[in-house]
Amino acid sequence: MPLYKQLSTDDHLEIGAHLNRNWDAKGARARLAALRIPSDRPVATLSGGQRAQVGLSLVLAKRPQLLLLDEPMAALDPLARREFLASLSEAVADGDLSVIVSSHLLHDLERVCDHLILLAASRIQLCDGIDDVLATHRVLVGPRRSLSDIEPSLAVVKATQTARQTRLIVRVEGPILDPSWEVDEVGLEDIILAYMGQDDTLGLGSLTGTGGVP
Amino acid sequence: MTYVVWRLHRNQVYVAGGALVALAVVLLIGKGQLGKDAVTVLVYATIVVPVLFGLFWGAPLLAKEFEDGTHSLVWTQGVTRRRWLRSNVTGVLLIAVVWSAALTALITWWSLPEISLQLARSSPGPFDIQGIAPVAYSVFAVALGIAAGAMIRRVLPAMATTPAVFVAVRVVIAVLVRSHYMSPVSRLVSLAQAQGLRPAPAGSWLLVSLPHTSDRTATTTAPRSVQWKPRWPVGPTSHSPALHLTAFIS
Repeated sequence: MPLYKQLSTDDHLEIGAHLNRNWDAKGARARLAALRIPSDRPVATLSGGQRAQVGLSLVLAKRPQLLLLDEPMAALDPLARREFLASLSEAVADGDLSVIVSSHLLHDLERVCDHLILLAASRIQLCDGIDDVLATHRVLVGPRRSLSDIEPSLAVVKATQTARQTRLIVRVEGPILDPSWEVDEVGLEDIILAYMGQDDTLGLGSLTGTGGVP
Repeated sequence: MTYVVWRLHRNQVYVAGGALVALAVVLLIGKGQLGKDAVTVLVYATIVVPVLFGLFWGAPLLAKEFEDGTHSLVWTQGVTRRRWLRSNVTGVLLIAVVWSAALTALITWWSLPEISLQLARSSPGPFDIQGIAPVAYSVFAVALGIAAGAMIRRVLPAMATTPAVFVAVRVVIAVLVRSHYMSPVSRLVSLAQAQGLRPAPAGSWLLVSLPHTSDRTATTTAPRSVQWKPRWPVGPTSHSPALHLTAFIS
């Protein structure tokens, strides 16, 4: 979030207070004080993580109900990212706030988000609660077989064939009956990458197992 | 909004205010010894002040917001973009007007006993640093800078464009346009008289001064005519070689 480099955190809060009717100055100050961010130094002298926190505090002071964050953590180091997400979760827990955040940092998303909307090639590939996503996706490993033989209760997201083995990431829509599959849970990152890797953009229902096959 | 404008521009006000006070001190000290020294140079140097306003106040006003991306911060707050722009532009213009009014008052006061400045109050140079001219130039320069910043969106190119356009416009107006604002007064005076007389009343801007004969063929001797005469109609009543003056009388 761009800030006036020469101005201090206090200046920014003061400007925000003068530009907004609904302004939570006390909350913003308390948040920044808790993070021990100096309030009187030009923000240019703060670290990237601190600046992101200042930006978040400025945004939250407006008491939004819906917050859209576009890659808010892209420039942050892992520690600052963690702190940023902690602040964000806290804010969500505190009040009447929903956040939509776009990010490529899949691991971070898993930690804080409740709901996942996956976009690839301008299409929504997946839209569900994260717990549901994790619960319905499995990785199956078994002897090599033709993809057309796979039981209809499994929607194949990604298939990898080697000479002897077939490895599938599937969305499970019913019991897995075939005992030759070795079934395992799959992490969110792998699920997302599986969806990103497929070039079939017709939608979830039409996944036929051809996508991603080498 | 007033606070915001003040907070964003107060450093500029401090710097400019300090410079003004320093200039006032120099002029006060130099008041006794007029005309020939560094103080006069300094007084004439104030001709660049409007350009500096355009450079450092006008050009960055929007260009810096665009360059740093801070426009997306301030233009998403609880005031509209229009209101933000209006307040900032008004604020900066107001500062420029107040500052240059103080400056021009100082210079005008200083140059009252200064014969050379007072005599040629209308001519380019003295005209540009006294009276209301510096105020108008400042407003123009700041507006020009803001416009350049809005169009170019980069600080340095906007800062480079502002003085170039400003000087170009000023030169064109001073050289080509200003002398046509009013019809100048023409005088015909005998050369003998011209030796002793001031060629035009105090404060005039002398546009042209050239010798010519009554039949306009050659400059000859034997001037006898004494009176200031209007240039038109000269006609056959004027029989003497004379100095033809065209001037603005201020």
